[in-house]
Order: sequence, then structure tokens, then C-alpha cells
Amino acid sequence: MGMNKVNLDLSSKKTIVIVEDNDLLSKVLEYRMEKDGFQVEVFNNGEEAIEFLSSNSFDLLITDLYMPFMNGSELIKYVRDNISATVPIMAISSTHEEDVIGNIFNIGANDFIVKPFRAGELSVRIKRLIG
Amino acid sequence: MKKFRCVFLKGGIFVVIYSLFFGWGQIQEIQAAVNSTKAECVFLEDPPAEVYFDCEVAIPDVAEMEARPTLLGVGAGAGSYGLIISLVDFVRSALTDFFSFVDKISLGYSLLFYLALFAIFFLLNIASVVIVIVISNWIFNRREIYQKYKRKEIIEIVSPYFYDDLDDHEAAGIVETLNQYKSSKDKQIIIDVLIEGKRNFTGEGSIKIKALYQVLQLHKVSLRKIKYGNWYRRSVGLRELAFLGKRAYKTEIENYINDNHQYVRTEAILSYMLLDDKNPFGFLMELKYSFVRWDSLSIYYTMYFNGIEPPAMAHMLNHSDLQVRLFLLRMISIYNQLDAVREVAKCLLDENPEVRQEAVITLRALEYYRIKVLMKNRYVDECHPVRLEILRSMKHFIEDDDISFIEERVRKGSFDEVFEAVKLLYKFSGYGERRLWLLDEELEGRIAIFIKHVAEPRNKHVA
Repeated sequence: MGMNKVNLDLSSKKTIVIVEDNDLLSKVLEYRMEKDGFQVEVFNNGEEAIEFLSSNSFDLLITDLYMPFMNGSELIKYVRDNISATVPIMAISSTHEEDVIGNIFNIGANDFIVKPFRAGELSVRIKRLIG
Repeated sequence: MKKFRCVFLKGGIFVVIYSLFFGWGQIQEIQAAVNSTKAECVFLEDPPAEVYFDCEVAIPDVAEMEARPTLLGVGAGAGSYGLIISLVDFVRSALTDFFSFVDKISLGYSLLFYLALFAIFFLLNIASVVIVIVISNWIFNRREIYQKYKRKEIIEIVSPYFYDDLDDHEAAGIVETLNQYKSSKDKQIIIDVLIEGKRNFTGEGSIKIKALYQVLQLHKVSLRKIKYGNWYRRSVGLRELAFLGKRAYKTEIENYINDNHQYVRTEAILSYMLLDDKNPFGFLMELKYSFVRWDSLSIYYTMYFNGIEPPAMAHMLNHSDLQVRLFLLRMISIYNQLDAVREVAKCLLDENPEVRQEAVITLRALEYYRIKVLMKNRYVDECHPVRLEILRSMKHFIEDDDISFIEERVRKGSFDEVFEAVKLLYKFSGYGERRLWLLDEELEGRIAIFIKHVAEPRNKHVA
């Protein structure tokens, strides 16, 4: 088990890491979260995100499941095994397959949201996870 | 404009062919007349040009020329006639020059010269191909960079629009900014971004995206594609209307359900379903072309991913198109529409064996046990594949009074029928297996091999 990288500094803004290859979706999420007072880091795929996650603290990871180079499931597994066992992770995907969704929770995701979703709903879920 | 160019080009080709074939005859006449006159005038060397005009040449006069049929019609005038002559002269002289050039180089230069010439042409050819590739690549890259840049810019502007808490003033500002993108390329980028937004967001955001599409008049871009584009642009336009348009465009889309191009038809069908979610299969009654199997898969996935509720389908089971009937039976089975069972049962009497077979499969999926009697009655008159499906369906309905029917199949059936019947009996409690061994004795060991196969634990998945 690796070092716990959860941000414990209460005076600073909470950091949310978004890993999403769809530029529109990541921008829309980034806009809202910045408006809600979070610090947001956006990456296009798991490989890029790991570099940041390994060396920085963060409070929430939001990841898409299907991405190039390293998909969301692999990223969640890597984070749980090597970076943090407790930091909240939310997965986003358009899949309705029960096996896939079940597997996401098994490997350590705390929440799952199916596309398409209400933009406002995500804010509510984020606040529930790290509010 | 495109059509005009095409007509103009065809006209030009026609003029050349006409002048070569018809004008040629007239030229021959004039030439013959000149030659005959020349023969009468005896000169030791070529006379000066003006001398020809002194000779009596049998050149047709203007009146005669006007009477001749020309490209512009009979009596079109000596002007058009002269034009044809000059055109033919030009073609003739060009051909003469070309052949004399060929003669000259083929007789006057060495093989080495030709090899060098060939090498130069070869290099020039490669160079031209490389230049074309580099230029196209450059254009493509420029276009891609432009699109990326504009897309990023547009996403930046649109992002706040997806949330509920945007006030009217901010929304108006976004519309105003987006209205400044006038070029068709930019409008297309906006449409693409909106479609992507529609795919990712639902609720208020989704409604707002549709409103933005209308306010920015982007529906006109899509409609223009549908009306004037080739098959690909028509398909894209239909998809855009389906994702971003409103129900009113359904009538527009209906016109393309029977388009000449298969892809356009498929896209029109899917668009129709997305726009009319209350009656998504309404298009089936409009079909003039045969329904393609591939479309049924696309329809199913469109319904699945867009959450379209399945409509009642039983009333359409008498559709004239075989593929439509098969498609409806499969959909009834997938969506477990038990209320359609009466209409599905009627399909057991359909003239087409494929439909009858699919009907048996559907009834099996619906697990409507009362249909068992009808199936058993139909069994003897049925073809082989339908018989097998009936036997497989019995698995769900088997009761004590079915034993004699199944034993009859074991005694008289084909290889496949015996196999299915043995499986059925074997699974029908312990009694079935005992009965099978008794039957085997009666049939002098002819079904022992089937019983062993079914009883073998390794064949569990097959059995």
C-alpha cells in the first residue's frame, strides 16, 4: 500500500482531478468545479494523470472509464494499490452493463455516474463525497 | 452552378465531335474543289496566295452555306460554318504537328537520349506526387489546427450554458458571441460541440442545447445539407436534426425514409425514431424499400442507448415485408410483450417458414404455455427447422400428457428431432430417463447413443 495522498490542508482549496478524454465534458466540469471553489486539474488519459497523482495531493478523482493509453478501471486500480486507499473516486461512463459497473465498485470506486447526466447532479454528488 | 458547368462541358465535347465528323465532310468537299481547280492551273512552282482567288474555285457560296445543316441548325449562317472550319483546321494542324514531332524524335535521337528523357520524366513524376502529398498534408494540418483552435474557443464560450443557474443576461451574451461565427466551417464546429453536449448531458442542459441550435439558426445549415448534399452530407444533416432538432422536423425526415441511398435511409429511420419517441416504429408503414436486417440492429441499439420506450407492435405483424415481420417478432421477444401473443400465434400460420420459425421462438420467449396445443397440432405439417423449434419450445411447457407426443418423435423423427426429443424426455424428471431406456429396448438399441450423449456430464452445456 502506498502513501496516502489525501489533502489534509484545510486552509487551501480542495483539489479535484478530472481524467477525461472528451474536451467538452472536461471543460464543462472544470468550469463548474472552479465556480464551486475547487482547484481543478484536467488530464486526457490515465497515464498523464498518474504522474500528477503520484507527486501531488488531491481530494477527489473523477475519471472516465474508456480512454486511450490507460483506461479508467486501470487508473482506479493503480490509485487504490499505489497512491491512496481512501481518497474518493468517481467513475463516469456511458455504459449500462451491470458487470462493468459492478467491477468498478469492486476495484475501489466510491461513486458511478452514467452519461448522459444532469450537469447539476454532478455538483451534488461531488459535495456529498468531499463536501 | 454545378449542373450548368456539366452542361457546358458536355456541349463543348459535342461541338468538337460534331466538327470532327460532320464538319470534316464539308471540309473534304471544299478541299476537293480547290484541288481540282489547282490541277487546271498549271504552275511550275507554288503560286502566290492571291492567285488562288483568281481561279474559279467551286467553293459553295454563302447562300448555299446557310442552307447546309450546321451545329446551330439549318441556315444558322456562314459565321458558324467558318467557326467549325477553323476548329477542324486547328485539330488537324495539331495532329500533323504531333505526328511530325514523333517522326522526328523517333528517327533523330539515340537510345541514351530516350533513357535520359524517361529518367527525367520519372523524377518529375515522383517530384509532383511528393509536392501534392506535402501540400495536401499542409492543408490538412492547417485545417485541423484551425478546427482544434475554434473548437476550444467555442467550448470555452458554451461551457456555462449547460448549467441551470445561468441567468438570462449571461445566456444572451453567449448567444451573441456565438452569432459572430458566420462561416460555414465555424457553424459546423458549433453543431458538433452541441451534439456532443447532447450526448453527455440530459435534463435542463439538453433542452438548452436544442434551444441554442434553433436560436443560432443552425437548423438551416442541417436542412441545407439534407436538401442539397450528397448521400454522406444528407446522412450527417439527418443525424444533426435528430439530435438537436424538434419534432416538427419529422415530416422533413420522412421524405428520406425511402431515399435511393441505403445509408441515408438508415439514418432517416434512426432520426425518425429519435424525433418521434411516442411512435418510433411509425416509419415501418411508410417503407417502400425492403427492410434491411442490419437496420434492425441499429434500431435496437438506438432504442437501448437513448432510452426509447418500445411501442405496441402486434398490429404491424401483418406487414407485407418479410424482414419487417421478422424484426417485429424479435422485438416482441426482446421486450417481452405478452399482450402481442395472439398476433404472434397467428404468425404460426404465416406462409413463410422463417416467420413461422421466429414465431415459435418468440412464443417460447414469452413462455405462453397455452400455445403448446396449437404447436403440437401444427407439428406434422411443418418443415424441419420449425419442427426443431417446436421441440425446443416444449422444454418450457412439457407435462405428462406430452410424453406420448415426444415418444412419437423419438420413434419416427429425423436425427435432429430424435436428439431434441431425447433431451426433452431425459430432463423430464427421473421417469423420463427410465422411459428412454425402455424406448431404447423397444427400438433395439437405436437411441442408446443419444441417451449416453445427453447423460454424459461433459455434454451438459450441449444438452
